[in-house]
Amino acid sequence: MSDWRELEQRRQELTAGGGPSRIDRQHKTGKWTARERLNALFDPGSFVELDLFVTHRSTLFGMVDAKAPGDGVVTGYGAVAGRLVYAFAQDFTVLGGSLGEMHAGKIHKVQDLALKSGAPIVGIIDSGGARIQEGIDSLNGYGGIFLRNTLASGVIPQISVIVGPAAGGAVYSPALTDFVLMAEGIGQMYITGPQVIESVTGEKVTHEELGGARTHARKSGNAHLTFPTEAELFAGLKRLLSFLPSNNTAEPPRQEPAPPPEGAAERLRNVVPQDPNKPYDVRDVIRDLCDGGDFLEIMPDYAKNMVTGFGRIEGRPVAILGNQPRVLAGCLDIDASDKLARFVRFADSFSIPLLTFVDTPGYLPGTKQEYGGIIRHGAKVLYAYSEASVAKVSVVLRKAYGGAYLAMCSRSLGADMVLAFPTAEVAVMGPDGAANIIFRRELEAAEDPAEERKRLVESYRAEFASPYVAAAHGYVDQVIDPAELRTSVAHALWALKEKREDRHAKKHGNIPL
Amino acid sequence: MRRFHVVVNGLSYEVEVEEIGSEGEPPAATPASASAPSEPAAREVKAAPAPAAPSATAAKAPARHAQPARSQSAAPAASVGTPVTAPLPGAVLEIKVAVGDEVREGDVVAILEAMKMENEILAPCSGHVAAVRVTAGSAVDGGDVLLEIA
Repeated sequence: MSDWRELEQRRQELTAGGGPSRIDRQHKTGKWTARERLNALFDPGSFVELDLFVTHRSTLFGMVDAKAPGDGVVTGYGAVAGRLVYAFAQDFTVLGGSLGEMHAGKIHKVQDLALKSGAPIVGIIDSGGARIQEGIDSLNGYGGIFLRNTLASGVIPQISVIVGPAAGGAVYSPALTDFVLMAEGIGQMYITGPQVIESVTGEKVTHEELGGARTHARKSGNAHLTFPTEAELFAGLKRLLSFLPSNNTAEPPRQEPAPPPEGAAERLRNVVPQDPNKPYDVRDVIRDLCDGGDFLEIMPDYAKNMVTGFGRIEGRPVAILGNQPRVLAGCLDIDASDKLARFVRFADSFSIPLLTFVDTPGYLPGTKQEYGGIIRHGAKVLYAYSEASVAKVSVVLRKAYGGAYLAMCSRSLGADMVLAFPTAEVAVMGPDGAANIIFRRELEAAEDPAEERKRLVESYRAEFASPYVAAAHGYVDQVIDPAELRTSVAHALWALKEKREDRHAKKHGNIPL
Repeated sequence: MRRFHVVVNGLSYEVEVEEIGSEGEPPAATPASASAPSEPAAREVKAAPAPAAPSATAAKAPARHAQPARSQSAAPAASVGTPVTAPLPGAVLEIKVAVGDEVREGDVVAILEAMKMENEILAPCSGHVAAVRVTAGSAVDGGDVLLEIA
């Protein structure tokens, strides 16, 4: 007898995963199960599971009798805010979520489907790693995931959710994807774990210190967003998806336009201090610009001298970047360059317009930066902006000096529209440095060099430390009243909506990595 | 545990070196610590001949000379809490807190003038100010400890 009743029974057994006691243990460690996570992600009732009946076919090391419902991973597709999204969620209650041949095969299948159908894919990681009993077949499984991650890069958005261990090779799939989201105290990523580290280098470190959410958000820059709980994580994931198009040929999703926060225009007139030595928070400018003041900051705790994130203007998603004058004076450094370049390239891949706020005194000086390769890393900024063919709008808020001015999406690198606040200072260098060089003879001849220097710096500042020289040469298209910021940016984006820029056909460029 | 006598700039240090690695490491570690000053010692030297900067770090150094036989893992400064460091080289414009003050994570604890900007230095954690290591006007390097929060 084989009818719908048997099917029902089989389904029930398999969807129970590792069974009540293991599910209980999962909950006791503060974690949700794979199916609970998928329920949190997808619109109610929309998830369609694939490959429920797949299981391992290993016969070695006592695996013949090992029961592995779904082979430790739940895969399928569903709707998130009505849009198609593919997903896989590793099930820690089944053989510790370990990745074997068939487990990997299920993941490969949804990766292929997501790519073919042009839909984002979400990978939910909670796994003890490779299933050792299956040997090189499980290794091959990882390799297939990496290959598919790479081939899908720039075609569909790929997001990794770390809600459990991800150790060794398992971390490289998340690292290849566009965004890594981690839950604090639950998700951990590292190449070699605390035990191996202690036995080799003698360093003592806990799992959480080594690879927890806080570490990857602040120190390594491997996590883009972190959340205190899984519930907040899945809410955050849906918010992130709301800014992203389904694939590289689709338009970013539009929402009903919303006005900026109350009193934004008036605040914008006062947010950038007249005194160029005074810091401010560039996010205050960004929030007062966006629809409803809604700005989703990406990597908020890493390289804080560079702000990156998504907002909407007149309902359309915009990728927003800005130097942050209140951290490291807004200098560009190695980490900020990496953060910026990767964000610019993501936005360009998916046709999300780039809006760049400029206020930087230059590159961070020091041997640490030079030895660390700021030349190579800083070049990524130039490369990413020059390569980007999406609409590029820049707003110079205050300092834009020298090489850093060029790097921050200047007209010279192909910015389509450059706006400037009246406080902007677009110049080859800051007034003090410039005066020292230009007026060297006058300073040497002066009776009171200090007084003369002050006078000359002031005269240089008055003449050149403004947006008007750059505007006179056409490097700045419009000098705007800060209160007009939103209107001006909205107009610029509207004027560039159908922008197309063709490039030479090539296999791919060679970005300095 | 092995003990070494190290003389640096005329000051003598007695150091204990504990082996923590396994296989093949002792041969590398032993000659290194015998021929050249071990790293903690080298750092102390850096702090000691700096009378120009009347900072607490410098004042601390002689006191530590008196303590013989510190273990190799001793931190370079006798830290009393979470250090708040200068993110970039510059001049301390203002210290906004005093020892004993309560601070919350994100509070502005000092102003550092660097890159022509009055940079706000924020508390990395909540707690009480345990030590202030610099005074207004002092020049600091990137990474120097400004104050400590415990």
